[in-house]
Amino acid sequence: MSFSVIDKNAEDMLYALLIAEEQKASMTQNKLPNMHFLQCNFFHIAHTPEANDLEYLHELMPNAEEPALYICSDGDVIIKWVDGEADILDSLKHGIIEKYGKSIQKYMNIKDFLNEYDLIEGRGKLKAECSKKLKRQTKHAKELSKYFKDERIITTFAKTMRLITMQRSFRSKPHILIVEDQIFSQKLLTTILKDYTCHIAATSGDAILKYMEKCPDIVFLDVELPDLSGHSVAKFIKKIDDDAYVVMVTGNQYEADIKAAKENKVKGFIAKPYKKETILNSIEQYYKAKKRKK
Amino acid sequence: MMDENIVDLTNLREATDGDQELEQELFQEFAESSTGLITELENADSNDAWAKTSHALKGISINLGAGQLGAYCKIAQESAEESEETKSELLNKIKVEHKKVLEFLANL
Repeated sequence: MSFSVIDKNAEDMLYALLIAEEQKASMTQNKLPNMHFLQCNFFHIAHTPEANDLEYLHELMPNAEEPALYICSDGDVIIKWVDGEADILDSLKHGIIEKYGKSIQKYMNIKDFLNEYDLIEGRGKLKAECSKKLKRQTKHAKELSKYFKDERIITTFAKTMRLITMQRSFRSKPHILIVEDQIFSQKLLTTILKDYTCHIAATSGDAILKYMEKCPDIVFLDVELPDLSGHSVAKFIKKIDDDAYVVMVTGNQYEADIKAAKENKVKGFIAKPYKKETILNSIEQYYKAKKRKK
Repeated sequence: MMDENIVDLTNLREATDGDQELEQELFQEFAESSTGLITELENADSNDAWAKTSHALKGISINLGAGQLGAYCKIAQESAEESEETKSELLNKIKVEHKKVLEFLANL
């Protein structure tokens, strides 16, 4: 029996199945075939495996056998895909019928599916996994926090930065580091900044690594990150690079955030939603500040 | 009929310069990310996880222009210490509004 998951939306099902994997002995009556989970959301609805999905599945599971059936999750609907004709069910939504009706054999909701295969504990597994993720982040944050205060690290990083910041003077346009954990917001910001070279970091630790590696001219830094807060990152960057140009971006406009931003001497504080004009205005401000410095 | 108040796409359309393909990519990313975050919210087993996840969902909602969804998430973020019953009610409101947002985008 082998399982694979293609994205987050099917995670609960995956964990349910992992439980099943652990309870193989009790699964003899309803043995699950080799299966793959594919997401279907309202855009690429209930898709049968496409070339790139299969490539991805093979990356995940290089030795996987070809699945006997596919299961797609669409909200609370589970669809089994098999070859051959099938009854078409009114309750299937979003154009699934028009597109894939002929290959649908059977559908059931997640609850029934879990019951049928005695997988109801899967939710608990997902909860446990979420909890583990949070603990990992907390542990990581504690370690990072320690590094951010370590004077030896600050001195070493600052020395390195002094050497590499020279490359900035050869650039015709500023390079930008976007520190944002949500892919949607990353994409939106890179769309606005399409005329600039952008680098992306999704966590505080990654932000520092990218900063040291790419030596950006401007940083758009989200306040709320999965590990440490953006304020800690801003503070650390200021310590290692005098010329750092950091603009905080946030969905919160709490007084404490504004105060922390001021204390860290960041160059700007932008409230979400990202507006093209506001973002580009920050770049203008950067140019002005650079000119004044000269 | 579509309710224009569900999502205000002014900012997003300025960002994409009217590029519809890019717009669709962003909608798809929103759908995937937000659905994942709602699953995480449903499974949040601590106040901290609840606050962080609702904050993340708020961020992408307001960046999309889904004001009401963002507003519910803001309330959720600030209600991390409230009872499970209150949080469950909020989660229901978020899910209903999220569904409206996805339907709105799908019907564009």
